[in-house]
Amino acid sequence: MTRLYHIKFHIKTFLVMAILTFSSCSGDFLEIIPVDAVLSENFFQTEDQIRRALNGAYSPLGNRGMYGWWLSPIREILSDDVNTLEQGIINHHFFNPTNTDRQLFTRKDGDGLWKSIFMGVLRSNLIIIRTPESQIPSQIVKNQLIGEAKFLRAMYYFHLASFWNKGPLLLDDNFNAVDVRTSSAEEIHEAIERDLLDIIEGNWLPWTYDGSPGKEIGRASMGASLSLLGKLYLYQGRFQEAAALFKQVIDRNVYSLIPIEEVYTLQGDNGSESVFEVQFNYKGAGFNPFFDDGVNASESTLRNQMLAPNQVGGWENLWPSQNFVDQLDNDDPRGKLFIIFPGDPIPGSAHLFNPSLNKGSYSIRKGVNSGYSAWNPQGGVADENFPLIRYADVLLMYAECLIRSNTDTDEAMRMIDQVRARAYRYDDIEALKAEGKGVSSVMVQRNLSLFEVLKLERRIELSFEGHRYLDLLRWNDAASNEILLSRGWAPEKAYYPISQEDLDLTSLLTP
Amino acid sequence: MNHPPFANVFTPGKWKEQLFLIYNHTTMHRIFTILIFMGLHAVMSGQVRMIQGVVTDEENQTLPGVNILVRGTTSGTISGIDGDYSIQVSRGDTLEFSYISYKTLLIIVEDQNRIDVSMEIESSTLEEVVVIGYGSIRKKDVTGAVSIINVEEMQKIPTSNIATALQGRVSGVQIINAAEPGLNPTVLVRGYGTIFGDPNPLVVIDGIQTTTGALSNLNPADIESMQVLKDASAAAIYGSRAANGVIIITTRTGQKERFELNFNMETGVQSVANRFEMMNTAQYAEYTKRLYVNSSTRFLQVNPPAWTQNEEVLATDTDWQDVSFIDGKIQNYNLSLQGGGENSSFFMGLGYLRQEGVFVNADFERYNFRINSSFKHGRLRIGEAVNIFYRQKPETDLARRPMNIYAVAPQMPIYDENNLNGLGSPFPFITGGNNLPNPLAYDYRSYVTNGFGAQGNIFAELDLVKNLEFRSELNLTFNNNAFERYYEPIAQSQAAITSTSYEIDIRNNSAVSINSENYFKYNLVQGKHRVNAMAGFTAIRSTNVGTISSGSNLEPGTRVPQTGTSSRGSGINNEMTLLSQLARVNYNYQDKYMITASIRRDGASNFSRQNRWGYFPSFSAGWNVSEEPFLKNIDWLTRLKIRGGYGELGRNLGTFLNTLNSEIRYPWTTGDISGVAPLNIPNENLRWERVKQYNIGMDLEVLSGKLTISTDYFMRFSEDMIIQVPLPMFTGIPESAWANVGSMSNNGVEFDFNYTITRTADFQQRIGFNFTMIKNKVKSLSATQDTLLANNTITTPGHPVASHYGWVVHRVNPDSGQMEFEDLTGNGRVSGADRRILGSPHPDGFFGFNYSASFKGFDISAFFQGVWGNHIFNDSRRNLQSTHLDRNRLASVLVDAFDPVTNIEGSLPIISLSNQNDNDRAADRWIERGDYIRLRNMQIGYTFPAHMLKRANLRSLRLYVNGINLVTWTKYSGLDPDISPMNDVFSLGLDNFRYPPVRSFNFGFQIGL
Repeated sequence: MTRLYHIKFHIKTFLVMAILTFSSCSGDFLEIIPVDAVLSENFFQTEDQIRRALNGAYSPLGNRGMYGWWLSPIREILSDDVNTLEQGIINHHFFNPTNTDRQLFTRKDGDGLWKSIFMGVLRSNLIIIRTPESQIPSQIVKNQLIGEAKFLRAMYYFHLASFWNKGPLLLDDNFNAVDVRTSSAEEIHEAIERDLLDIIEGNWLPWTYDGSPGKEIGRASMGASLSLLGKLYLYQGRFQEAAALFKQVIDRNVYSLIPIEEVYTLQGDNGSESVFEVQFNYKGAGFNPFFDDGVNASESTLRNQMLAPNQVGGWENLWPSQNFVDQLDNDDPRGKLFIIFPGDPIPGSAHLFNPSLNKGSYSIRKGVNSGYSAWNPQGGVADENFPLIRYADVLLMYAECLIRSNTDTDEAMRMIDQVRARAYRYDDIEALKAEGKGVSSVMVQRNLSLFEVLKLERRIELSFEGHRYLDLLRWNDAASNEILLSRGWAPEKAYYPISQEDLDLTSLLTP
Repeated sequence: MNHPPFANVFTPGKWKEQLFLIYNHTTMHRIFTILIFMGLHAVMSGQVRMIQGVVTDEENQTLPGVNILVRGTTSGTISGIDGDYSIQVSRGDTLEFSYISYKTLLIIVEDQNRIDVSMEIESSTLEEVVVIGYGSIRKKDVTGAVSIINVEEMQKIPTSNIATALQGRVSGVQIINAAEPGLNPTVLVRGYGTIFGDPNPLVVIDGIQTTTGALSNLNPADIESMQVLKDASAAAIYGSRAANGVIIITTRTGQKERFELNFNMETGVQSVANRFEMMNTAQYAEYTKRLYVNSSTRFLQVNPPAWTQNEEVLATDTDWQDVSFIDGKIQNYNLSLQGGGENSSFFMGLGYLRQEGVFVNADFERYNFRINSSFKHGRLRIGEAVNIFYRQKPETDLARRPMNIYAVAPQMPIYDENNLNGLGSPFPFITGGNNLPNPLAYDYRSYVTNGFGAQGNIFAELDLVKNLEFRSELNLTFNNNAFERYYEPIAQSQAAITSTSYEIDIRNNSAVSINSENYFKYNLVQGKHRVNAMAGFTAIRSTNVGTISSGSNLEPGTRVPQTGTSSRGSGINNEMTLLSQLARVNYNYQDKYMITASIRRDGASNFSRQNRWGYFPSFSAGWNVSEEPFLKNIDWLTRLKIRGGYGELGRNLGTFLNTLNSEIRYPWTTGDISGVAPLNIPNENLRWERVKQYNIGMDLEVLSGKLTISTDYFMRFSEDMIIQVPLPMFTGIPESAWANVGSMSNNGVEFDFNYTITRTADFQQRIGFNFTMIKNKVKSLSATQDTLLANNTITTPGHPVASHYGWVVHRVNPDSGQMEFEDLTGNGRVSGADRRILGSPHPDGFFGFNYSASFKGFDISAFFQGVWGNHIFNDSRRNLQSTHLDRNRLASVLVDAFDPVTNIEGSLPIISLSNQNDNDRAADRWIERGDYIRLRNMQIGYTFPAHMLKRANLRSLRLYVNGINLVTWTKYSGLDPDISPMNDVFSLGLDNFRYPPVRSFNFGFQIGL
């Protein structure tokens, strides 16, 4: 009797188990809503969400493939201002479409300039396309969000045009971009211009930010948009249009030159000279380009580690060329501020610079000053923001427009003298001129034309910030530059090629 | 009777001392504590008397060495030289006579004083029962391609992972080994059947469906039987999970009326089997001078680094391979207890394994505890099988360490007291541009996963009505992994392993998978008909929850993030479900004709609603030709069976969801830095990958089972293959897109041959041989794309998947010393279009050969395995022979490199930083044949005769020595031609610096009580 009961009991248990399993057979069992990731379809609704997406769009600027690591020297490395033994350059490897070096073409997220540019483009595209359909009530807020995204998209495409001079042009949120063709530099320029004109004509962005959350100093601003469009016009040879834009920036009086000692240093970060810069704020806590892989941007830059001399443990990836040093006036304070000369103390260390222990006879000091430098054994990461556009550059670009359009050379000289007065630590340009350091004096002393003085001033003031090579191309000076030619420069090697891997994966993209 | 001298060693008093020696020397004292608790030397008592007799074989020859046991006791003996034995018994005892390859005989003792027995040779292995998933059938009824593994043979190879030992053991299954301690080998059943993701088969351990990863948690000593379901008709009952075949493992159970204790111990040493010949300091200085001087241009005179002129630096010459590689000790202990009664049985196993790596911080350690038992009560049977494990697995970037060891500067001193940890460091004026860190710096970094987990099932079976039973089973797999990466700072070394502060990463995750299986089984034998059927349903829910936190600038000596200045946390939390209904029927008529049909319907949560469900049918049939009247009278023919079948299998992976990466940061000064960005491309149309497979085979057994031959021909088609299509980088999407792309085939032949050469009482000899030939071919890719290029491989219709792809070397230019490549298109310039297929990473075939013999107590076995017809991309050589890097190179580079003065006919390009033609690009010069034959295992053992052990109360004792990876015959120039792919098929046959190949020698003993 007991036994029978037991069996019955077990049968019941089985039935219960069976029913349990059967009941879970309903479709619900297979509906899993992920809790470990944000679903795209639910996003881009609120202002807060789109702000987070905007942070995502800014972030590739700090990727290893951009200013977190390689782009900072890569911008410089092709120019006659520096020498290098770096593979990519003396190999001409960067001009080989099949190279998969992590500096240019790697699939790895966060690495590779090519991919980083387009990570920024895609993220900007999503904001530009989705924000109009969001639930944000205020059109002004919407415009501002779209405006920042448009500035970023323009900035990323400006990088593409600068280093490739052509490439895929993606302006929507279509992910499956396998049938994209190669657009010309003109088409890319046109897209940049359209984005920036939207911002400027719609007055979508503020000139300044108050530094509160969501309004951080350093966000894309009206001044940055005008300056970038001016720069584009300058590159296109539209000097008068460019001059008009630069004048707007100057006349607005929100920017000023800071003491030369503070240029490209932690003190100068986001200062009054800053028009647009890449933010780094590691402060010992955050994504470090050296250790943290992945799609997360770096929050610090390895510029120090890359440029510091071997003697103190730096990699010394590049160093100032003799040709550059030869251009400096002996009494130009920028010499000692931007360069370490033999016998100079190496900042942050007890060592004096000794060329026989290093690759170069000089070492770059500019932008390599802060506390986390390789010069103290903390390691190579640093927090100096990378200046993409600063006010001195705006003044010099304005001067160049005036000179090349032959409109107002006096105004042009005043602009250059402003930059020089700051460099030579004079209170104003009159004091500069009085000491024989003004542009007119330089023209006489060195027997140079005004345009040539401007070129020289750009070369020195903006040295080691990645302008020189692009300037040489813009001025058509590359083909006659003996240093470039000695390294095998050729017109077909002026710009990087499109990645062979991407050509392999698409049908319409052409080299 | 004269005992051999060593018999005294194991006298009753002394064996405990012997064990105590081991006890003292090992970490296994816990096991022994248990052993002692159980009071194993308890002596049986009762009304006893002595009986004796002689054991003979069928031909009346006496049989020595036969095991004779009183069932249910530990008392037993072994027959002597003349087959004679004597043993103490009580009336009603059952005597069990067992002897290898003879049928076990049971005799109940009545009033006799003498029992003479005659033992029969076990004539046919076809009486074996085969576990086929959701039940088992007689081997003679099998209609699919199922390989039964000789587990005992495999257990002879010391290994942490049974899959490693499977290499070469069975046709159709290719194992590509990984020497790294704790790393899983790649298991390919009938070729590489999938482009993306895990190519390994489903593993079913005691009914628990899992992956080959679980094999690294399984103690090989616990395994009772192992079979591989190779074709779809056999595997289809596992439907959606079996696209790459199925390995079914059952673990040990106790036997009725028999209590046994077994203890195995093994210890050995493994060392690096093969090294590179790198430059010494003098050679490297010469290389470095050429490297820099040859890089000069008109405006830049490049001088060699100062160290090349510095006598003091040049006096240091470090062989970093000598310094870094150490001998790793292997220790393996297993203790098991098993037994059973009328209505119950149990098996308990304890295992401990420690396998040290060939460098520091690469040790693998594992503890296993297993309890299997079953109980019967009337119509109900219940039981469980549980494996609990703890393991510590090295996670160091083991692959990068060897690269560093080879290429680091030889002039760097090993030690330098001025540096942190007293290690020499790559300071630029000592090592120039070679900034690779001191390989010993890795000793200060630990990188381990502590895994704790359990895998178990509870089942109940109930006889409902006659022939019909219901089985319900709950399987649980629990894995808790605590990953800890801890770095100490390394002063002033500037390469990628540098850490600047004390850093820690801690990851913790718990993965839980619950699987409920409920099904009916029906068995009917009526006249000439035999029916065996099952139907039921299963549901699986897997979750994985975890956290990650990390910190740097920690207080020295602490290992928690909060003592540092930085820490950040993140987590994982995901879930996956699978729901299935399944049914199968086997029908057998007169033991002559068999058919099997099955169907399975699966639904998976990772597909969208409209693509969620897949149906996976199979059908197969067999014909026992030897049962037909016209063959029945042929004496030498024991068995001949012809079988064939077709089946479909599935595979699900990927996701249709579009998610955002929310780990993005942009460092605003306000600290409002978190961001999001697109992560992947959604694909609503993602659907099941399908494998369709045809199989035809034959099993032949002749000469009373002395010779067995089995052969199969198969055609395996993979369709709608799921891959993560690599997206152009300009899409800006981090992850590749999931898609169903293309189809491919793996067609081949398998052949298994086993022959018992000699089978007498004293002397047995067997050979086994198997080989497999497979041809892999891509049939189609997507409509929009006919090629898929990845990792210097091409996948395109008409060729094997992931074929090596690259340029063809033309010559080293005699003027510039740069490498030139063939302009295959003839358009006057070399571009991407000039690449061609350079070889296949898939072998044409692979084989295994086994010889084993035993003479009296001695046994010897040798096992060879190998592959042929594959090509390896020697990326290690590509790196170590590159003439453009300031890194230590192969010593041969100085001889082979072009030099404008001394060697204009050099086969390698000029030694110079300038590498204008991308000289080291993927080209035919890096492709090599990967054929090899390896003496994988050789073993010599001695089993003590029972009469010697009797006085020590031992049932059995065997001592052995073996060597693993003893000799390899190959023309491959790399260190090891046996190269496991890393993540996907695109790394198949890619030798890019792996853990170095190791050779080991081991000694062990096996004791039975």
